[in-house]
Amino acid sequence: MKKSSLLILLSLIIIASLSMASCATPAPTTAPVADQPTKVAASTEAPAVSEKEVQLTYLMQQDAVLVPAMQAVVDDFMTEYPNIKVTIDSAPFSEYHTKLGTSFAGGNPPDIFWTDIRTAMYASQGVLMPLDDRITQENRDDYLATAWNETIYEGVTYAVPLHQLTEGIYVNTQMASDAGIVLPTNVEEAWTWEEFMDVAKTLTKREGDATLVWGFSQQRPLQDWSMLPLFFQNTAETLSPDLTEASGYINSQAGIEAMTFMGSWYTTEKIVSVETIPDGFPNGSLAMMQAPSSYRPLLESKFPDFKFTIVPMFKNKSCGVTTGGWNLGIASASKHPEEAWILVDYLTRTAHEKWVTTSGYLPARKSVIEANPQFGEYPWVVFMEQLENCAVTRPATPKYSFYFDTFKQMVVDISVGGDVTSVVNRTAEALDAELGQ
Amino acid sequence: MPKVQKLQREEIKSSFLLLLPATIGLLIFSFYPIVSAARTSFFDVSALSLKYDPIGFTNYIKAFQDKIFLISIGNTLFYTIAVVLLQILVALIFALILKNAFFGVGFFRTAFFLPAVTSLVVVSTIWKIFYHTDVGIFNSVLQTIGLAPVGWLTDANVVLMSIVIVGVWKEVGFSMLVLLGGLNIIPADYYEAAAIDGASGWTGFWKITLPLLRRSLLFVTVLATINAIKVFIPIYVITNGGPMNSTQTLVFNIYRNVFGYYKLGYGSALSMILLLIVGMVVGLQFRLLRSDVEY
Repeated sequence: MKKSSLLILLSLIIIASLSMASCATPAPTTAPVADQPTKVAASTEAPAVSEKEVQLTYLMQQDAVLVPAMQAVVDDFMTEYPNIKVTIDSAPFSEYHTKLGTSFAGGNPPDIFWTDIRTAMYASQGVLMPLDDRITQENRDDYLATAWNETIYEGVTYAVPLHQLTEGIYVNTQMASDAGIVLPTNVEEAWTWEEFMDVAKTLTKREGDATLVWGFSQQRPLQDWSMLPLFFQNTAETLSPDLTEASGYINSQAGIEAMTFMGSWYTTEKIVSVETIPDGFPNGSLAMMQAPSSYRPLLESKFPDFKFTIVPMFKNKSCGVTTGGWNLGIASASKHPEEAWILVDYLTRTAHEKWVTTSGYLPARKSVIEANPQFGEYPWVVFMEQLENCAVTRPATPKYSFYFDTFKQMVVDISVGGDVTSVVNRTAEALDAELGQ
Repeated sequence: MPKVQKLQREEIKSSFLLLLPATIGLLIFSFYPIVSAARTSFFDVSALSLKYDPIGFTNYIKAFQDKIFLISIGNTLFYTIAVVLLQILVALIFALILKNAFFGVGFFRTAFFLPAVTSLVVVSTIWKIFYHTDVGIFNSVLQTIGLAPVGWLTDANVVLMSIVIVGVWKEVGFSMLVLLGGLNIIPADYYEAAAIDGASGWTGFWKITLPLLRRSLLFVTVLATINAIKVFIPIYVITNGGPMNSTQTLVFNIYRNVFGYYKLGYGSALSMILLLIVGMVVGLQFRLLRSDVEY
């Protein structure tokens, strides 16, 4: 009897402690931004490093080209700083932010991580370390101005650009040649919306109800990255300057026109398949592919015999292409902020040239662009010229994930035949309700 | 008498000891998260900062003003009713056929059960390819026989049914196996006696098979209902909730709020509503399909 009483007592203690644990207010795993001490490091000069071995965790996007390229750069770093050991972890883009968010929720974030337009979102939640005190003016001035757009939230810099990115149109060289299509070589010669539509229709091949070759597709289909250029090219915005309102912007006349043009790709002209065709471009099911510069090394490594030509994005009232890329941020909960900064500084300064040439991303530093004539030659020049003249950043709202999903839903609904005006108005209403909070 | 009491006490003690590990597991991994989620639902919490701001019932009020959430309830109910009805009907037909001994019956039983033990992520990816409007096998067949292609994943009126088909295909084998077990334990004497009385096969099915199968039917219905209400993977892999919100479901909506927008408090409130819905539906099923028949 005594033993069973003891067991009952034990169980009650377990139940009570579980209830107590659930009722206690959990302590935030990270201190608010204002509470984070920002130690000033001698960032641009070789920083003093302790002899003690330090282990850093580093999260990046998983990709067949990117991970080996980054590992090579990190190996160079560890040779130069033998007491700092860096472990790279990665996740495919579709799962990247879920993995990162879960690591914060679990109180175990990586020391350094790739952050994109969502920098404002992470910064607003206090999980990114402010870096203004570590970035010298000389360092800042060496970057293209647009490169910092994604890294600043409420006037404070929370990340350092790792590279830049824009898109071009990859064209199947053989198909274009067979159809007698003249390919533009610079932004000045870029196709207008009407010319682009004619080219895409010419390249689309049908047999009865079946489409054998689609004229056009996008590597990042039906999302803001690929579709925002249509707004920019039609001189429309999707949000107000303070990023809290969509009505009157995304559903302006110019915005509706942009989405009507996009809708016609899928519904009336049928030059684009609503559903993606895996490897359809190198396999000949897609004649043209809107894709970033980083698509080239992937194509070349996976399909070495496939011939393609890269041309600038189409234009309308003006040229316009989305820019952005990955930036490096340090978790405010990192136990090794000094060593983390040394790695960030190394990757974004010393290794910048090696990284961009092996990854296929575009350089963000003026000094690297000037020192490398290759960036003025094909194929780099197609992207670099657009980066200089046509690049626009996505809205850096702290609620970007909601913006992303809502925008995606809008373009998906239009692509399957939804009424453009009512879908865009519904989107504006949803964005207003969330962003205005 | 004292000997009996001692034995009873020993039995209770042993039962308690045997139940203890499972109870501790349940407390830690099931009840604690439920209690924690119930508590979190009364706070405005970001999964990133984990700062708790008490807001009372605001998350619950917001949920019933959220158009997407209301759409997701409707879609989930439609999906659940369609999947459960089709799954049990098909499983019952298969079980009645495969109850008989014929050449190759083992092969068919295995083949029908196989989808139940495959990864739903992999299966969903394959179905997505099958459903592709241009390169999918279904439309290829339709076009071969001269019919127009169907927008399995692009037509807002069709896409939820496409997901229903995946759900039924995946789970029908398990339900069939349970019903097969239920059919096999019905004594053959009942059918023989009924046959002597002149009952037809159809009458035997309605008057003997179905009433004596109620327990098995209750079991598969409850399991199928819980699985269907929690549908997530096919939505995440195949449709992402679209187009036109036609495949927005409760769990997908919870996932999006918690892991996409980091709204831990709001997501917890939605989870509590889901718990309530599951509890009500399962309770109703227990009441309707309760069986007191012993044989």
